[in-house]
Amino acid sequence: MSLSYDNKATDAGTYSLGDVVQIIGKVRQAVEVVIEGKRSSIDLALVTLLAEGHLLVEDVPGVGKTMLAKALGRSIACTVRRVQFTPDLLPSDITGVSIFNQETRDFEFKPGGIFANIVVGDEINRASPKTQSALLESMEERQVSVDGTTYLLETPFMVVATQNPIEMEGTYPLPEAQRDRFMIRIEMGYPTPSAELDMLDSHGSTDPLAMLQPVTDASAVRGMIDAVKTVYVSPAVKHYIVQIVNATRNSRDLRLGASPRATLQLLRAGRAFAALAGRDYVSPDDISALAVSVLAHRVLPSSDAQLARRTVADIIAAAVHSVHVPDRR
Amino acid sequence: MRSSDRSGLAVMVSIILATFTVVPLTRDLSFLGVSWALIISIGVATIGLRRAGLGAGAVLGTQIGLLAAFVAALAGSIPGTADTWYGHFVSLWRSGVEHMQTQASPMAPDEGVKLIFVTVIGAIAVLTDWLVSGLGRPAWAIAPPAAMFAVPAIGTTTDTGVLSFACIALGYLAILVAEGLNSTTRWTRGLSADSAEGYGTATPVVWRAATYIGVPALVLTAILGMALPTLSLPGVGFGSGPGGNGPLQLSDPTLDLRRNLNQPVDREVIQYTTDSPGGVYLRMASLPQLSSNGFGNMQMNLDRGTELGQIPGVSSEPGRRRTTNISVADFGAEYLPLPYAARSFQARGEWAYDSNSLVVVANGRGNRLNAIRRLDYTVQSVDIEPNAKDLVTALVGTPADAAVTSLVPRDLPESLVKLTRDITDDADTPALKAAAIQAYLRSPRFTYTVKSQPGSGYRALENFLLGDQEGYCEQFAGAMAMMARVVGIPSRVAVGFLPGKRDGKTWKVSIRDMHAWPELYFAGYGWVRFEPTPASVAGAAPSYSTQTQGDASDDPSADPSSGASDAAPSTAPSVPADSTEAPTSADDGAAFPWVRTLVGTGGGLLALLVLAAPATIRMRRRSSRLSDTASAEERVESAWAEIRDSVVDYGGDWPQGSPRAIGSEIVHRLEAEQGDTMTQVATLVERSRYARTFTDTQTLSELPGMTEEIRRGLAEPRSFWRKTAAVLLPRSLFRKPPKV
Repeated sequence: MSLSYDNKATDAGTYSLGDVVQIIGKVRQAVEVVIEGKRSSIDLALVTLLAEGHLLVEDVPGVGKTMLAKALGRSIACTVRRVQFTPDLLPSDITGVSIFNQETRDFEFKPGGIFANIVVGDEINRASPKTQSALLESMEERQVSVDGTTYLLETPFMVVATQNPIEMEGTYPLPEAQRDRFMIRIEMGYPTPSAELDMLDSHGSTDPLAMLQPVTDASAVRGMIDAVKTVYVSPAVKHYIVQIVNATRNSRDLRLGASPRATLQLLRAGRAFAALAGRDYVSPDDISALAVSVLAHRVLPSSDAQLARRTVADIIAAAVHSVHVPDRR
Repeated sequence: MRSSDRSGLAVMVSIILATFTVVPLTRDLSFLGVSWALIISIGVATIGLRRAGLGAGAVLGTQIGLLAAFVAALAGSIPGTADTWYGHFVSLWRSGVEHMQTQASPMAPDEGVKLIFVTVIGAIAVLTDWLVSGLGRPAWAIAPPAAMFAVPAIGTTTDTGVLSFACIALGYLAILVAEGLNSTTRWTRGLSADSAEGYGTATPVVWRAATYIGVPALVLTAILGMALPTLSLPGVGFGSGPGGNGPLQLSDPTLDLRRNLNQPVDREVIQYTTDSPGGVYLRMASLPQLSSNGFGNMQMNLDRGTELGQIPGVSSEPGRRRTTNISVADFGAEYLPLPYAARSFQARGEWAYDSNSLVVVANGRGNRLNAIRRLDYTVQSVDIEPNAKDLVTALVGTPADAAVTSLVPRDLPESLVKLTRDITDDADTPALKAAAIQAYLRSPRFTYTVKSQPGSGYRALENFLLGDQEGYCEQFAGAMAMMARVVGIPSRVAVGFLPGKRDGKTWKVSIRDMHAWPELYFAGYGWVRFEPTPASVAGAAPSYSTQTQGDASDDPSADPSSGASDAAPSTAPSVPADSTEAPTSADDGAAFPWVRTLVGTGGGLLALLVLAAPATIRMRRRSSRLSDTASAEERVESAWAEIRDSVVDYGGDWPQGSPRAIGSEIVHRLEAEQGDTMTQVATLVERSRYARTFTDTQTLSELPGMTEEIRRGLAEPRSFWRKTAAVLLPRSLFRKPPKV
């Protein structure tokens, strides 16, 4: 038996890249009402959505990680679930559980928190590794197997996980292999003083999140995802991507370079990024703009680089810079 | 093949080709083999050293050492008399320089010249290799071979030849192509095989780049080649080649005579009417100074005015004045052709005269070489025709410039002195000695030919008097003047025209009537003309100049008895004669400011052409880039390259990165409107490179205009000097090609 949660899978026609720009523009506008002054973070979140990836939001508490995830979910008319990760959260809370129904005298599947278009996994590094891996497996497989039955997850499916930096107390840091599942990691950072001032005005008396109205729906997002797949990537740009990933593997400052999965996701993210800019082709600028966000959380700095206090972002940027931008087709 | 091998080979090929350009200069081609051996040994050593990974300094040092050793060995293989090796070397070098100065091209074989050629070629090879590999500026490699090309192009009036241009151009192309292939190698290196597909075929681009530079350079060289040989640069050393088609003129009396005598078409240059029955010798310049290079100019003391001062040395001026009306055709010189001795003249323009020689030269501004071109003027003169009987007993006088005109150089070869003594032994008086010399020279043992070597230097005179005994008026006149000095008579060589051919009342003088003759100074008579050139050319000798010892005692009338001078008595020379020329080098620029003027003009013109070369290449490159023949992608890339070069030309740096990044960087340097254009072009480049298909004919057609607009925008904030430099010396031409 295959069960799609809340399945309304039929798409209403195809979408062009122009539609993508238009619709995503509205979504961005809506989210920006809630999250002020964080245009680049919002764009990266939208890129993740269109590229069928998952987003890892990492920063100190209180800078709006959860707010971003929720605002994104609200502005798209689709199912949104939020799972608060705690040390006592069980894997079945994520995936769902089969319960014996006394009336039907049969086992009935109760879907877990994962069955939604957008899943907000709050403070994911507070859950036990076992629960974390339950989530992460479904992220990659886009399906859930419970008691021998496989349940497909509906498209779009995007996990927005937030986590506090691993140095904070009471956390189980995600292993590298699991961080690799996330397409993009963003750091929110503190808002600028003026944005913070605006925030006091808007959030002080009302809740803008509650007032947020959906500007699009899941089927439109599915259409846009398909449209993004048509974005052209020239051989030269593919070559450029491979060279950048290779540069991280050969860098002396990195103990672990980026995986082939990273290569693939860099390409997909590049497509979505180009589509957001209204282009039907990926330029090297797209790739270099995304490189840090896509690659930084997958690599490990060498001890020398750590001693030299070089951040991973710097090392990735240097690796990108070392690669010659292709100047012909 | 390594890239350094390629560069080294290309330089070898280029210089070996370039050696052909100097072939027209000499008849002795043995220098070719020697210089090739030198080029190849330097080239092979260079390639070896570069393979061994030696630095540029070490390579250059070795090359110079190799060159020096080779040249020293070559000098050692040539026999010489000097005591020390360096003395030997210096004397060889000096004799080579002298040889080049005294000989017209093609020069006769000379070991010194060979040594000079080989040394210069070797030095050029080292220099070129240093430019290409040491400095990494292959585009500059045109300069040294082009300098080599310039020498025959300037120095010979013969056709320097399309082949010479082709040699230089081909060699240059070889260097560029080698460099281009090297860049291609650099680009593909390090890519895996499949991903490199589509990148490794940059060769057409290389060829195209080579064409961009090669074609304009070839065209320019052709223009240069046509323009330069018409310039005669006195003092450069390579004088008149035979039979040129250049304008008829006398710019330097020591260099142009033979050239004019060899004119393929005998053109009429002067017409005159005169009341002198036999016509008049039209005298232009006077060469009083004798040195090892022969007779030459000295500084003149010019006086202004049309009334010439006293005739030097003439005690009583003959009463009878002759009037001659002269009109010059298309013939340029700054000397006014006048009969000797002119007393006054009426000519438009500014003129000055030298009281010692009665030579009249242009004194105005502008191109003095054109001073007499198409000039009509009248001159009053007296004839200096001493009575033969009186002359026989005349004493040698002392002219005002005796210090020069009586000087017998100490280094005059003894053989010449001895010959003179032998000839004049029997004559008692100065005039008889002079007559004996003239008779000796007019004897049949001497053959008149304009094919012989020019000059009246010791070497030429020895060859003429004691060697093959062939020569033309320059040698005849030079020999007589030299011998007269040996026997104590002051002498000088005059250059001008024979009387020409009579046609009714008019005398017609053609370019082949150019002539040189000796003037000897006798007390009371001043400067007296003699005519040692054979009668077939110069007609009869003056009656006063043909006495013999016997005449002196008995009959003073003219009767050629000693020597074989022809007997035709003082008839006017009516056959248009192939005349000859006066030798020597111009030795004082102050005396002949036109030499400096000409050198200055020629040099200036050359400098202009050289200056114009980079601008021409750059403009040609621009227009070919902006033409709409290529595919859309190529046109966009070309426009982009053009913008890149413009940025570099106007002193900016070309940023690294993607088109968009570069565009946004350049936008900051532009005004808002041009900035928008720049963004547009950058987007266009991005699309042409990375998008699936690219067909934007609308924007494409505007691309040249947009590129121009950006260029103007780049130029606008720059200073005047920077703009000028960007046009005349575009930095982009001399930049290392971007590493890809």
